[in-house]
Parts: sequence; C-alpha cells; structure tokens
Amino acid sequence: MKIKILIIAIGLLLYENAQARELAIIANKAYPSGSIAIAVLKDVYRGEKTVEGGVKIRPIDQEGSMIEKKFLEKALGTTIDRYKGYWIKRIFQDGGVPPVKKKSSGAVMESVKQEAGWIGYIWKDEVDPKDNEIKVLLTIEVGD
Amino acid sequence: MKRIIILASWIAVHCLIGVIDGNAFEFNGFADASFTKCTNDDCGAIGEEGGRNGNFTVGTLDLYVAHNMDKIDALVELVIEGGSIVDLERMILRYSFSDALQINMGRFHTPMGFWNTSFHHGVQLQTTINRPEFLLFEDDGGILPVHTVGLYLSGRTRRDPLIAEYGVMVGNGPRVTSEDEESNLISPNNVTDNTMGKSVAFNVTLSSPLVEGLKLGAQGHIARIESDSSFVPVNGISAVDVDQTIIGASIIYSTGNIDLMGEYFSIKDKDNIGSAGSNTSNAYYGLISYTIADRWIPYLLHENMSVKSDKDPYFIALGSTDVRKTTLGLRYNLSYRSSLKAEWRDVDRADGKWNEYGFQWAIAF
Repeated sequence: MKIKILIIAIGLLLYENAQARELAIIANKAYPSGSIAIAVLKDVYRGEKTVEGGVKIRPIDQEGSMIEKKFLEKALGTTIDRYKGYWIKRIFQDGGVPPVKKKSSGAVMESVKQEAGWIGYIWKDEVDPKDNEIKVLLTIEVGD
Repeated sequence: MKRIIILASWIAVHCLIGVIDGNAFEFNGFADASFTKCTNDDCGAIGEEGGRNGNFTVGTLDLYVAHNMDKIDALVELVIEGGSIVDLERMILRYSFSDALQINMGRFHTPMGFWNTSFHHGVQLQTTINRPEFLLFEDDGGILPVHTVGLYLSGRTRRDPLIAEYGVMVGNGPRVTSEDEESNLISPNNVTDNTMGKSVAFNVTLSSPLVEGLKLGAQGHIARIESDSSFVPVNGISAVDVDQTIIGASIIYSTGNIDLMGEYFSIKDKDNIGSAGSNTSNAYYGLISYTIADRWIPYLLHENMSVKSDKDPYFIALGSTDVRKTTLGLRYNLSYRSSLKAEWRDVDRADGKWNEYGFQWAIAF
C-alpha cells in the first residue's frame, strides 16, 4: 500500500513537472486592448508598433533571466544576442526606445500597474487572479 | 586637429547639457580597423594607394546620440573618417503622429533600398567589410546621392496579411563639386540648393507573415544635378547639368540560418547642356550568407556596376568605371557587439583585374 502511494505521488510529481510552463503577457488594466496577437507582440518588442488606441506602448523586458530567454525564443523567435544586436541596429537606424529592463516579475508587475501603456511578461503562475490592476493579454506555452 | 577639438568640445557640451537636464544621454558608436592587400602588380586604383604593399586602415569612428522625448525623436551621427575628417552624417528630428506617419527633417540617408537605410556607417552591422561599390558614400567616390538634406515622411502599417513600410522625401538636389581640385564628387548640398528643382524620392517595402522573412522593396529618386564653380573639367566635360532618374528594386529573404539580400538600380541621366542625350546605367548586388551557431557566417557577395562612362557626363565627371566584383568572406561574431571578418575578392574593373584580400575588426559600443 505504501509503495502504491509512493508511486502515485511520484507520478503526480512527474506529471506536474511535465506540464509545460506558460508565460503571461500582462498589461495595465487601462491598456486599450483586451488581447494581443503574437505577431503584434513581436512588433511591440521590436519597436515597430509603439501606439495602441492612442496610448504609447512601453514594453518591459526581464533582463538576464531564464524567462527572458524563453520569451525571446518562443514569442519573438530569436536569441538574446540577436535581440540585443537588433536593438543596436534599430536605435542606430531610426532612434526609438528599447524595452525597459526589469530584474524580476515583481518589478514588471509594479511597473505595469503605473501607466496605461506598459506591457510585460511574467510566468502565468505568478499572476494573481485577484489583482484587478493587471490584465492578461496572452499566454504562451514555452515548455520546461 | 581643429576639427577633432571641435568634436571633443561638442561631446563635452553635449554631456554637460545632458547632466544639467537630468536626461540620460548616452553616446553609442561604431569603430573598425582593416587590412587590405592586393595580390597582383596591376592593382588599378588601389595600386595607386599602395595596394600591392598592403594597407592597415583606420576605418570610421562613428558616434551617435539617439534621444526620445515622447513623440519627438532626435538622432545625431558624427563620423571621423581617415583619422581626421569629421562629418555630420545624419541629423534627424522626428515627430511621430502614429506608427503609420512620422515626419522627419534634417540630413538623413536617402530612402533608397535596404543597404543604404539599414547599415548607415555602422560597419559592425553589415555582414561584409565594405559596402557594394555603387553604394559607397559620396565622399568615398559613390555614384548615388545616398544622403539628403530635406523633409522625409515615413511609416509602417499592418493590414493583415500585408505589412507596408514607406518613405517619401523632398530635399536639396545633389551637386557635382570638387573638394581637392583634382577630382569631382557628389555633394548633398547641406546648406543651400544650387538648383531650383528639389530632389524627390520614395521607398516602399512589403512583407507578409504568410511568407516569413521575405521583404520586397521598390524605390525611386528624381533630381536635377548641376556642377558648381569648383568643378574640375575632365575628358572634355566642363560642366554637368542632368536630369537624373533612379529606379530600383530590392529583396531580402531570411529563412532559418540563410540570409539573402539583393538590390538593383537603374540610373538614367538626361543631358541638359550637351549632346549626350539620355543614357541609362545600372548596378546590382546579391549577397548570400549562412549563420552557424550565431557565430560563424560564411558569405558570398557579387556586385556589378555598368555605367556609360564614355557618354554620360555625370559618370565622366565622377570618373566612374565599370566594376565587377566577387567577394568570398567569413565573419566571426566575437559577441553581438564585435566581429572579425576575412575576405578574398576577385576584382574586374575597366582599369585592371586583380585579386585582393582583407581583414577587419569591427565593434559597436
């Protein structure tokens, strides 16, 4: 009996770990749109879309973290080096403002709450469903 | 030396103003150094500069500041070339009404093709050591008016499944002038225009998520180009006055680790003061590269410039000749900010054929 319970417990643990982790694209509650397509999200983080419904968009990155790596790979289809290289080129070509850098999901959430146009990414399981100052625009499965 | 001091002063004042205003001004830039050597005794133009001996070259030191003030952007780019010449390459003031409409004023790179509007003077950004010869900057002997002083509307709009980017400009037309009293070059007319007619140009690029990585472009440029009083007579041409029409097409395609890039330009000059009539020349390049593990990038560049150097007073004045060049290269990215490049080139010009090889170290900071 004890062995069966142990096997079930291990199985549940493995099952949970096998579940792909998800990113949540979050925005201020006053952000003009309730959702965002992945193609538009790419435009936002590449500085090609800067306004939504008359509101200036301010994207936020989580610098030097695993979540940034996953976000760039899955959402933007690029690597950290290529992304940094892209922004050097972008600023040199057209000026513009690269995404703001934050160190943690907590810092991203705090910033998103401040202004209508702020948009960022955190792990989906870090979203507090009771927090009505933030809304989730999109979730992206990123694997383990 | 005086120019260097002026530049240093400008930088110091700029930083000071930034500190006083509490603005986070940040200088960024590019720098590069190269070595080039040709392998034949007959090195044509490069031979005159000691190409057979081999040359270490200080490339361009490019300093720029980009600053955003809500809907207003400012970009200033200064370049030190050859270790001593300071040029204000770009100075753009921009107001953004939306992503689809921005108005720019100042000195900018003429919206003409991909290369000219993508890499500017940042050598680290381009795959190869050099620009294709027909896209060289005016003061390097280029044949196209790649800089313009004027007004420029630009924008980008997405109407699924199509994304369109455009640029439309009006500016001072270029003139043909001499800075050394020995040869002529094109000047963008930074302060005044020496003709009544303004230059007009457009650039349109289309892409679609349906074909990821593909961009197609078309461009055009119309200008009246006259020489000024410092013009150096050459081969019986004592002045230049042409109506110039440039049209072109571009393609970029990136799929997986393969990148393709190509541009074609047709340049038609109608002589207004001589008997040369209308002459059409053309130039193109194709570049293919393959990226391995984000570090190694072997590439192949083929370029061709075919000009009416015996009839067209514009090309006679500039001393342009036909050029066919094939470049085989390998780029190694030390990081996303720095690269080493090695090239072997097969050069076929009207004044000779030879091979040359080159190395370059380029950085962005």
